[in-house]
Amino acid sequence: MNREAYRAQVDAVSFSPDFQDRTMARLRELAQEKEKKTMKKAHWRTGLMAAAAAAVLVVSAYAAVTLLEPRDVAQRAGNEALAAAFESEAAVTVNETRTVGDYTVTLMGLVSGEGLENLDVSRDRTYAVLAMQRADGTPIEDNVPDLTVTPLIEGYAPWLVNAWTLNGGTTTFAQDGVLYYLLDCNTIEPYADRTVYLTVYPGNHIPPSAERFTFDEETGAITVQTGAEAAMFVLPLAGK
Amino acid sequence: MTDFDWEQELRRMVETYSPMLLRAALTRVSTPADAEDAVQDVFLRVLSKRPCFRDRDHEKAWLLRAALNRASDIRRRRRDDAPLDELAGTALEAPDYGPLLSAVRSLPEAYSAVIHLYYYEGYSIKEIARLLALPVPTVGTRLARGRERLRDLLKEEDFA
Repeated sequence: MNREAYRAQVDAVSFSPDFQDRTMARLRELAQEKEKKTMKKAHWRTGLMAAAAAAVLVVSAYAAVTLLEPRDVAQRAGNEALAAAFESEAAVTVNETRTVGDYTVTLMGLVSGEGLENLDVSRDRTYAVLAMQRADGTPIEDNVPDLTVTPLIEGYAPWLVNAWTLNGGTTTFAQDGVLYYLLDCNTIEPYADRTVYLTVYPGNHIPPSAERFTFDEETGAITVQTGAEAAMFVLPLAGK
Repeated sequence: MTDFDWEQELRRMVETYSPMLLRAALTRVSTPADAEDAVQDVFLRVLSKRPCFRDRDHEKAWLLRAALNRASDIRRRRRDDAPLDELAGTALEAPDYGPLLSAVRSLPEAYSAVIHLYYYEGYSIKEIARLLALPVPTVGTRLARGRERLRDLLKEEDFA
């Protein structure tokens, strides 16, 4: 293509001369709105702190087991390079737990994208490690999970962008009554400006459907259908 | 980082990246005004999410991908909102941009972004791969296929 001609045609497009000023003004407005909201929230935070303190006293059976580290899970899955990646600065530790049906699921951590480039792991993939335990403390001995794990991305219908369309793969194994789940899929860094969820719901390898999730085409928001069971972790991607 | 620091940071980002982001967004939306909406939304998102960038390269890549994503959203929404009789035509009230830019804009999004970054911004295939978080061979393929489609669209003799 004639580069100079293309550049000339792009340069001929006129954007508003005050675009940057308008944008900064809008940003200042938004910052002020945020500040007002933060001040309002501070009033009821004390109440929440009391509730959180009470919640800490509830110790459930699943918490008694010491979980492997993501590094150990990768090693056990036979991927030494990934184990090293989970030890690197590219790794993000999450350690958040949710309940899904009879299970408690802990998203332990993830590695993704460009932070992997100096390691012997594809920077075109995202890797996440989860631990699944039965909520009643009964050990899991089966290597096959009765749960499905898939990333979902704000702005994209769950049935169009998910672990299947992102070329997802899984490695699972049970140890000490805990089922460890290593998910890998195409890197989700291109979506880092959006909210990226890792969702977990009952059933083995069942693609996400409209029966389980709602998708608001106007806002791009994804939520769990009323009456459906699913946990949604928000992935802390680099740059979020 | 204090709010004052954030304002300084945002000002730097707006001043540094707006022209590049507006041009990239325009490859996906119909009008300059829509491109401005897309890019403004990206900066608003930076303020609301306060992302931590590893370095300036990461920052630029994040902003570019965000602008392209947002432009796609706007394009999709405009298409969904348009009355059926408007859709009977081809483009949605796009101004006359000149044959090359119009041809690039008519390409599938995956091709137009790569073609634009290569030909306008002058990035190498490797740099585009990094910016769009794509494998290098994928970018090479998209560039080649984009050129082929452009050749068909333009049927220019001096097209290389």
